Amino acid sequence: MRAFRLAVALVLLLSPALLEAQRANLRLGTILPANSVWDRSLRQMASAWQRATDGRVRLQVRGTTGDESTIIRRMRLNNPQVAALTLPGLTEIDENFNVFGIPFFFESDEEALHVLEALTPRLRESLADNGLVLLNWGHGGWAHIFSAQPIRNMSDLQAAKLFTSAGDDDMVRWYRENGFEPVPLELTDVLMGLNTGLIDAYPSPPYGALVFQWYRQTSHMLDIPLSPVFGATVMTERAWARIGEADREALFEGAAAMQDFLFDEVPRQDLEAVAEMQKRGLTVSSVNQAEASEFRRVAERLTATWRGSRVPADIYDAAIAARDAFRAK
Amino acid sequence: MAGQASRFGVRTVFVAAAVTALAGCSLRTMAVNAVLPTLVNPAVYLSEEDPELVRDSLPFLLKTIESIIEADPARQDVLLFANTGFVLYANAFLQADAAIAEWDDYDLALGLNERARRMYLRARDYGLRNVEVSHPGITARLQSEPEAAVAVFEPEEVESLYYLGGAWMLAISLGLDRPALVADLPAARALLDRALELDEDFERGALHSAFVTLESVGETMGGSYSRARDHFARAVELSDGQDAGPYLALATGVSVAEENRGEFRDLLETALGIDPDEAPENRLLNLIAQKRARVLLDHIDDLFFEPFDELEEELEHRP
Repeated sequence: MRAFRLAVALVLLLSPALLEAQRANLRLGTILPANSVWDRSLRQMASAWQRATDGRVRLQVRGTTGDESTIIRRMRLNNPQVAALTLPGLTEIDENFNVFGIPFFFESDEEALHVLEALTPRLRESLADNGLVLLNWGHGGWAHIFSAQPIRNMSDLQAAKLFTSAGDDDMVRWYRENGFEPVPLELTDVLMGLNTGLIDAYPSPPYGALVFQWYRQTSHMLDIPLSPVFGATVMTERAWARIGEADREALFEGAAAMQDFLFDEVPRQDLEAVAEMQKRGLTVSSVNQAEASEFRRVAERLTATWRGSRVPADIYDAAIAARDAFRAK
Repeated sequence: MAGQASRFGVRTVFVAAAVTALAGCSLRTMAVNAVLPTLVNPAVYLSEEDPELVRDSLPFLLKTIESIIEADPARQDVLLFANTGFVLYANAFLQADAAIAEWDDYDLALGLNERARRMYLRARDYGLRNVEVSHPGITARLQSEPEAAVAVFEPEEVESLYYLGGAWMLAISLGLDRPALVADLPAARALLDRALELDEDFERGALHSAFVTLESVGETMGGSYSRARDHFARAVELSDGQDAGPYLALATGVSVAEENRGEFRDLLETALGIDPDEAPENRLLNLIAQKRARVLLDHIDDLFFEPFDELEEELEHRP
């Protein structure tokens, strides 16, 4: 009897600790702006997690105007435990993600999504090697070239004063070696660069050009998608380890719903952004099939050097194989 | 003869009805004119000591104002009041409630913010109708060439510019997922820039207070924390430190972004130290701002990350 009482007492004593092990109050860091489609999707996911786990998993979505490098550094110390990262942040974690930045590599959303799915096991491993669990993919739209003067071919693009992210010296070197005029700037200086004529062209998804008002200095958009701006929501393995098996399933479901929402909503948002900018003076430079093919042919020749340099050879080859398989369908 | 009498009778009835209707209309107009100055007096609401009373009574007044606008669509004082009243209700009650709800219930917060966004748009539309009376075609010009369009406004129109620009900007800030709305950002900004240019000390620093938030959007969007601080200093100076608004604006817009926890706490504690009765004309907004300041202080640990050195120390001592 005494043994039974002791057992009960021990269970009672241990229960809060056990419960605590299953509970998780998590914080999510992101540079994505409040009340944007991305912020909304994250909050919807947080609500879904809370409902599906009866409140055992709570997620506070906290935007920051800081940079992703700081969020990533903080994640190594497990605070925040979750982050919604954009492609530059992901490439900082692992260079495999550079595969999605190859200019003019993909022709459509469907093709890019096919390659993304094909590469997901490898990329999940890359994140796991860095102590992170992949929850879902995000979509930031398709970068397009916006410019003050119309761009119809690669020579026009090479003549433009093209914004490129400061700090990526390899990219600047690659641009220069291939006859471009890159101007490395911080993202915060793009508006100033456009106003002063320091740059007259930049790659951006249409929504970005609209919300940052950059398009007002660059009234032309080349209607060939440059590259998809994918992102990801990740959680530290340390936080993940504290979540019960059943709740993990619910978290993946909520994250998958967010991914589906973004892959539907973001392309629609970009189309609407283009239409609004056209009403206010943007000219979309359409090219015919032959011109687009020529653009891609030249780009493919120029970016072949990325294999084994910016993009590890095996992931580059895997991307080509998946893309070609999609095109052969 | 019978036919004539009948026609006469019909005509008499018609004329009598018309006269009665006109007289009724005139009486109603007279009555409306008599009570309007009392009805459209924002001071009655802004000096209220019980925010819940305003929350409950303002919707009825706003619907009354909307029916007056329906009868007299070009009356600028009423259009301006509708602009002001809907902004006040959306900001002080819906968006403020959402800011509190979001700590526990994202779904509720999203719903409240959606209502607030729609109400800001309604406020903006009344504001546009107001300025259209004096400047026909201004809406289209604001959307196509905003910086040039605002040059037509004169100093006596600053109040209209402030509430119109404010309603528009607030709607955009809650609707960044809507490109059609985001596209009008330059129009909203130009209205507020023009207001500041014409009367920088409007309403004891209200414009500078708005610019603290506008400059807090981050440099990528053309903002500047340094300029936000300048506007904060001027807003505090013009209000003799009796307006909690700029303290909250700087704390939430700049201190959080710069991860300055000490400043955040100091600003909110200063806001809480303001005696709402010292500036009765601002009593309602101060009470609402103070309620929000308390909630923010309660959640200070959620708003700021621990400094790196503390985190690294914690990691080192972890078994």
